[in-house]
Amino acid sequence: MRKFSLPTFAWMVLAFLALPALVVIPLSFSSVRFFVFPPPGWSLRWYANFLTAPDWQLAIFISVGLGLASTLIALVLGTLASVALVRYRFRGRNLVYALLLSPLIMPVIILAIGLYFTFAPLGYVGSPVVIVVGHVILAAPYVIVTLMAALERFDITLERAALSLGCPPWQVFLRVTFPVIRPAFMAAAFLAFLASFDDLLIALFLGGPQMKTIQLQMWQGIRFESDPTIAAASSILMVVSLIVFVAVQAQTRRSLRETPRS
Amino acid sequence: MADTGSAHGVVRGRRRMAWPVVMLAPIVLYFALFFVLPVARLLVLSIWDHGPTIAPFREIFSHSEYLGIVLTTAKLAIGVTALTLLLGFPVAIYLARLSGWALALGMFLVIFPLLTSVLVRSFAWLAILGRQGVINETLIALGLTAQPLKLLYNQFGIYVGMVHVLLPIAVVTMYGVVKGIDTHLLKAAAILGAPPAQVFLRVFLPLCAPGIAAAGLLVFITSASAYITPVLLGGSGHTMIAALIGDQIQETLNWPLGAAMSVILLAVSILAFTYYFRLTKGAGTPLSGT
Repeated sequence: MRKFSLPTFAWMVLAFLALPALVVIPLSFSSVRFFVFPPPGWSLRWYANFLTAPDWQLAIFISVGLGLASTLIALVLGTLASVALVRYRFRGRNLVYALLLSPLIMPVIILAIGLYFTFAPLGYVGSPVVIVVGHVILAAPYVIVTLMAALERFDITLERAALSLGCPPWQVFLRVTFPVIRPAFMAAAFLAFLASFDDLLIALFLGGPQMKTIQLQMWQGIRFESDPTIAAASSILMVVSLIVFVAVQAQTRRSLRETPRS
Repeated sequence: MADTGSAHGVVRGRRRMAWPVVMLAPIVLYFALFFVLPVARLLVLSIWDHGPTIAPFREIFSHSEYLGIVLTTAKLAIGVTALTLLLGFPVAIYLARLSGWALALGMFLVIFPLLTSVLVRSFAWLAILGRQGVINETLIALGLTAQPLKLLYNQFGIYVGMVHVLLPIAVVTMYGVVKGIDTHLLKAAAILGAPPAQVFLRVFLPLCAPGIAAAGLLVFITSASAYITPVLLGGSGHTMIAALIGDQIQETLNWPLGAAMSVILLAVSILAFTYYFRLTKGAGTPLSGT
């Protein structure tokens, strides 16, 4: 029996993880309508379709808009919560912490259905506000986890020094704490945006014919009339994720080099 | 440190309780309104119809079709969990030994899928497993089969898709666990004369066990409640409970039935989280903050 090689096994599994990206990207340049791999010819028509077709353009606009709104709200709520959870000890702290993080492990379908039951009788299905409401729930835990980790590493004596020098607390946060945790803040914003941008279920149950995110547009496209525009959309989304991820990593690394930590 | 006497509630003095409440109030209120309440409404809908009733639950347990789906969901979730842990644990161990270039690449391959949506990842498998997809085209070109294999719209497709979607989470969780193991314990066992297999089985594995169990619970709940991947790769026949719930809500408009099914799913999820929280806060194995 051949000896089991851990590196070989591990890299095979990792290759398995990479397979979809390696297939979707070439597929997006296919010249034919069907999902044939390898593609018989090359073309940019699906990218053109994604960027110029009106329903796709609307979907892009909606996804980005909802993402920005959700991120903003999640950042405000989440920052306050993170500071409170890190800096203070109080009764019920663990309960609150568990509650705020539970969307990370709760099945999204339950949240989507629950919100649907709540808002459908009120006639709010198809409204962007309702979708943002749901997305904030999905995004907030990522903000809290990211910021709490950064705040725990943060050297609180910097704050105390500023306070003792007469700086009012809000300014202490803005001018001392925030600049140091800014990379974590950017990472939190990125994760929050992704949570909203990549969501399908909330948009599926709370969206409407005039309110379709990119994910919802793709979902309906795949199920009802699919063509490689979806592959083009997927590739663009992957590239955007990659760029932002790299940017946040670079920011983090630079900031770790430059600023003092405890 | 002396009380500065500041009126702005530095963590001291009788204003100690005020600030956390003020800062947490917005988000807790938000969650109460838009998270707890909707889920509670779900519960209410399943047991109340102009009066208390268990009709929706009775309907579920009396229809073999529904019970069949619940069973299939459970079996699939267990299978996916087992496969994910089996594939993911060795990868986590391997990554924990790496550093520099190799580690960066390995972690990138694990984390990047998490940045793309489940839909995008599942969609890719349509292209890979389809009749004219990568696998079939390769097999036919190599002469290994004359007809394309049916790899999609069946349980196989769901398995592949789900394992792919869940592996990154499992690997990241277990990586944290493995990294947290004190290697001195392993060295001590070796010094005391234990052969490598024994060190692995009787020292390393038991130390990792809570973390692996936590990862397993997470994977189990996520796969049991999965909607996107099973619907996309499993075809129009309902195989799993989330798709059935969605159908009750959107197609047959039987809200109480959909609510009752959601309650069942929720109950199983809550059971799993309780164990998950217990495992991740447990004494003994240090778990990284993933």
